[in-house]
Amino acid sequence: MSTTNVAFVSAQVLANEDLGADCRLLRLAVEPELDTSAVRPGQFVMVRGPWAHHPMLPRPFSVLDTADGQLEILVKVVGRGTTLIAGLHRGASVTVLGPLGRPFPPPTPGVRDLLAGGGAGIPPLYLHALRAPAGSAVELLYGGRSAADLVLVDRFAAARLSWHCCTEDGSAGSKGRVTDLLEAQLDFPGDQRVLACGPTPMLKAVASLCEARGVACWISLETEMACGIGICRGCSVAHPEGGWRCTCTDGPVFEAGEVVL
Amino acid sequence: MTVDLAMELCGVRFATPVLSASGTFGYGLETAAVLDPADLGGVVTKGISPLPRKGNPPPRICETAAGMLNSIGLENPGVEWFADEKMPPLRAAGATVVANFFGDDPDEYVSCAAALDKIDGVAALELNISCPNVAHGGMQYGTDPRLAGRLVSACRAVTTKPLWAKLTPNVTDIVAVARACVEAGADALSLINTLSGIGINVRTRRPRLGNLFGGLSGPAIKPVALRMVHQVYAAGLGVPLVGIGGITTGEDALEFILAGASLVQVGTATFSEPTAMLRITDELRQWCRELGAERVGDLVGTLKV
Ligand SMILES: Cc1cc2nc3c(=O)[nH]c(=O)nc-3n(C[C@H](O)[C@H](O)[C@H](O)COP(=O)(O)OP(=O)(O)OC[C@H]3O[C@@H](n4cnc5c(N)ncnc54)[C@H](O)[C@@H]3O)c2cc1C
Ligand SMILES: Cc1cc2nc3c(=O)[nH]c(=O)nc-3n(C[C@H](O)[C@H](O)[C@H](O)COP(=O)(O)O)c2cc1C
Ligand code: FES
Repeated sequence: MSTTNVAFVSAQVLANEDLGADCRLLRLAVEPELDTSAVRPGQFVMVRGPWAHHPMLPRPFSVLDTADGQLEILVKVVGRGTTLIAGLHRGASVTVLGPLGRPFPPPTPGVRDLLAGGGAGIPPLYLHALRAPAGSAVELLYGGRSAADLVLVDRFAAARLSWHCCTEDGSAGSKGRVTDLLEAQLDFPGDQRVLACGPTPMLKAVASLCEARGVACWISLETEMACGIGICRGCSVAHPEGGWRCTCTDGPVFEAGEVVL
Repeated sequence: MTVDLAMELCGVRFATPVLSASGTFGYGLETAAVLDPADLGGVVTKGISPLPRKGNPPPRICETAAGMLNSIGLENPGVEWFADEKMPPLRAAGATVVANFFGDDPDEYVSCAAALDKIDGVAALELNISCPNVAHGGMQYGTDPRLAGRLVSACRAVTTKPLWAKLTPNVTDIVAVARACVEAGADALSLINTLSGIGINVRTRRPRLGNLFGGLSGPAIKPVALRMVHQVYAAGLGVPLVGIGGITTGEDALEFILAGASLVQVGTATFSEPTAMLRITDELRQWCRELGAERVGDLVGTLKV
């Protein structure tokens, strides 16, 4: 990873919007210190609010968008840190470290990208689809338990992305899981690859489906992180041939065979 | 009023008393985009062993109230790699380098000390006799004054560089271990390493760390660290002390200095704020002004009890 673009900035919360399903969209003013044009889809930032020592560590979030020189993140509330960050009001100050990590491989002419996202795993895939050059073949596949989990779909429509969704209860799109959607798409005759982000069990299912069908697969992993920048070695994942990979600097995007899920 | 923050320890000059703590700043250059290591008092490297070492299974960290547990397990690619890959850029960057090292047994400690002794640009050696994470490494030496002393004197014999011994807080009598290390030839003492602890996930009823046991660091341990620095300083062993544990502000650093530390190290705070060491240095300078001290060295051990 090149760290030359990495900045550590004090940023302001410009907006905090409720997306439903315990998710908030935060827009952060990070320019000029953090050059948002350097952010690549799949990269993340470490965010920390103005509290003392509990929690002490920043939290990693994928970059959702960088519209107008601002940085957007989606925050799903799962614990103490995300509760506090999701509760930040407009005007609050946070620190942001980034952009960090290895991004998704950029779109390649003649290769179709299938983007498989579950739950709060949609942000880096959305940015990848949004940034794909005109004429690229990109299909966004989005799964949740029910319609309410499918946050941000209004943005997909506004950006005229090509997308399909499914829900486990059938309340939106087809009934089933994102792997079912993916399987239906894999019969495509041309070159294609899969980029996935979501809970680890979903990544596992996607990776084994791709392996069985001989399709290249890239996954974005989530692990505990303390530093986000390669100095604590707290984010290790096992490599199939032994040793470790650092999720924060070698990832978070890995080719499926690079890590043991 | 200008304040002189420089400190000299065993013949080595540190531009400021604020250094990175081992294992919390990599090899000093990972964060170069936001912090120039030459602006620090010094860089204490991640623990180095004679041979590469794999480290513990994940999860390796979990956050706790005002702190965190880690069970990294001293993962590192070994001393040869350190000399070839990491020292040249560190030398070029003009950083003052203290090499933290350990081994699985006394022979490994000695061979690592001997190898580090030969590396140009390593200003001092910090002997980690205190890591609580590894079944065979460290813990037993750091908790038994006799074993600690033997290890220090074995390493002492193979290096002419200043040798610091880094102590574990997981003992009943810190002064006994400190004294044994000094009698065996340690030039300085660093204290403290992490406190042994565990965390439990109540949903899964499983440990929160892959290794079960981990080391507690961060603001939560500061009072314990300060107490130990005070006790060792008060014992008057005649060597300088390096204070470590939960420092996040210049005021914290000053507390350690008043208790008797000549230098301090900042660890976990760097994870929340990669530039914390620079802020802490600025705040310390302000404090010296406020207390009317022209040299930070004048404040060492001036706690009134
Ligand atoms: C590279 C990377 C990118 C990420 N991007 C995003 C993002 O764009 N949006 C987002 O909302 N989150 C994202 N996450 C996850 C987010 O960082 C964590 O949810 C957050 O750190 C949890 O902090 P907490 O203090 O709220 O929870 P903790 O108190 O740390 O944990 C609370 C409970 O939630 C569990 N938990 C932790 N992470 C998750 C998770 N992701 N999903 C469900 N349960 C979890 C824990 O195991 C624990 O049981 C990302 C993580 C990584 C590593
Ligand atoms: C992730 C992590 C890794 C560490 N690795 C080492 C190490 O390799 N060698 C060592 O002597 N101490 C190691 N330590 C201990 C720190 O150097 C320091 O003594 C301790 O964290 C207390 O300081 P703090 O509260 O400022 O973090 C490590 C600490 C952490 C949090
Ligand atoms: S999170 Fe610290 S090394 Fe990856």
